[in-house]
Amino acid sequence: MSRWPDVEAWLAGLDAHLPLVPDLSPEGARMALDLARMALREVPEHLDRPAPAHTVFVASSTVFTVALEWCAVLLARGGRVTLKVPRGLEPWYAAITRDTGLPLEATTDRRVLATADRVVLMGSDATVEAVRAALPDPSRLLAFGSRHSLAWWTDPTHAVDLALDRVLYDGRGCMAPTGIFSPIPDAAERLAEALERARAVVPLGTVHPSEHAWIRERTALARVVGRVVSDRVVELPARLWVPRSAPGLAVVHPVATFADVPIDPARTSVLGTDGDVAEGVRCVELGRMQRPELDRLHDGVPWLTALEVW
Amino acid sequence: MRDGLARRILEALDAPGVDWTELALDVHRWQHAHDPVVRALSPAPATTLDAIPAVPVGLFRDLDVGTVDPAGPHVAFHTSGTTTGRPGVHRMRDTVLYDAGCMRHARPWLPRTSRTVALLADSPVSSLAHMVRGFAPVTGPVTWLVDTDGLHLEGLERVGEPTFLCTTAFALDAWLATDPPALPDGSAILVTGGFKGRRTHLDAGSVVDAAVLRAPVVQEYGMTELSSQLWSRPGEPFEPPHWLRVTAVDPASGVPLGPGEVGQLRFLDLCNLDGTLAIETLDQGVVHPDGRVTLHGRLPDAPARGCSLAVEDLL
Repeated sequence: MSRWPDVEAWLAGLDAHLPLVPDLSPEGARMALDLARMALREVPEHLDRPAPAHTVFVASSTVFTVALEWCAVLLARGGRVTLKVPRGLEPWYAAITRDTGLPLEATTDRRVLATADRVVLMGSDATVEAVRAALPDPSRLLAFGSRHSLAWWTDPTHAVDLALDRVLYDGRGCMAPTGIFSPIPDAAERLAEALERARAVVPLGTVHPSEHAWIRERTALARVVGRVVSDRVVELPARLWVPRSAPGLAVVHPVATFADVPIDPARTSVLGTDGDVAEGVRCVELGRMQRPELDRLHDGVPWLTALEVW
Repeated sequence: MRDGLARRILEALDAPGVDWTELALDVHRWQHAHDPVVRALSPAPATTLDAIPAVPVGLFRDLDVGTVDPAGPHVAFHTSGTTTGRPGVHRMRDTVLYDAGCMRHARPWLPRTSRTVALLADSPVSSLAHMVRGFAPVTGPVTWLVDTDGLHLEGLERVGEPTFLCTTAFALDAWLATDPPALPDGSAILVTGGFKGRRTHLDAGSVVDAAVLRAPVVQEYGMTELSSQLWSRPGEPFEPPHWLRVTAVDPASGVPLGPGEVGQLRFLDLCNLDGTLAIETLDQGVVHPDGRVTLHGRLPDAPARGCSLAVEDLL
């Protein structure tokens, strides 16, 4: 019998723990949780497959909701889940796994990796490499390494959608657009205006020192070879795109055609687009980049079925 | 004009009492006239030291920073490109100022040894290799023990004479892992590069303590984008030369912090005549009232970079 009702109740009770989410503003954390739960309404449609008896999920530190969908599916399918929690998110994960009545626990002890039937990992390539080397049976690992996302924006009326893609999780996740490529002449100004409005509703959270330094570096670069459009938007030539996103600063790259977008199917996680689509890359509408549908190819992997295969 | 400034800087290296501010502002005005990057960051020439724009080191990989025409004759030092895969380039017309500043400040820290062994790769575009080659008249001829095949520690097995061992933190850690005997009397160890890699974070204190058992240790802090270096003994703050001003700034605003406050480090290096006078790093530290600097490593979560990573990749 499905555990979905219990899982649904668990998800509904997470609001109380939102103050434990680091970095995001209260409004930002609330919006991210609400949108993540919305996508999880589809879980009951995907319970006809078995779950590994015990899965360890190694969560990344950038997106606090990332574990929820994996836990929801695995738990509802009857599995047990241990969350290996990242630095900074220990209080959040400790709270959401306490007294749930579900076979769900959180730990910082990396030895738990050796005990799992399945290890799901999201992290840097170096972390993936280290975990793979440490596992007694590396074939149990389902790993997602470093990827980045891009946006292709052609219709000026979609500025508000793009602003949502940048505002969610303050632009830190691997599905946030690192570069916004557009042939729209005043794209940067339009995005700046949309971000200004979005930030009035969902304020930016904490920006860390290295992120501040990165923002000032990109801004300095824009002063030399681009334009500083506002505190939140700079414009840079496409050749200076880098696969890194800074909270609070969107980078617009003016380009003439879709061919100028530096898509690499091996590295591009998501292409948000209101026009052309790319082969071999998950393409979604603008405004949906950080709100993935449940049944998707996650970095090329059909995760809902990959969970059971090893 | 450039040669006149170079002469004044060379004279200033031996004259700590010279009007440093006036000379720095003269260098800045000249760079402002000849470097579009500096001009873009500060439309009018600065009139105070704090107003001189500090170029973030990341811009060296994206732009031609400095006053040297890349198409003309020049010497270029490259960063390891470990952060993005694109190296940053520091160009200079010649290495006269670099060599003079480097040796002037390094000499009191260097041992008089018979030979130099570098747990580093020799490369014409490595400022670190250039510096170590420059030590040879004092510390002895250099043997390089890193090449494209990796780190060749066996080259250290038959050391029988006082040796100056120049090493990155990661190569040092690899050497110590072999449990080597103490180096011959009169030897010394130079440690450079960070202790934080892509895969491993070394405990700086324990690595250096273990190294001290093999020979006295000195530490050097420098980077490709600078022409001058800071030196220290283990457990002590780094000493900059008098022609290198270090400031800790607030990473959010870039505003200078007071003495003793931890901040993002910014350097104003008079020997960077052909490059750019002021640079801003992704390292953090405390600048003490006497100008010495305690390093606190990279800004939290800043990408690791530097020569240590190149060696880490070979291990």
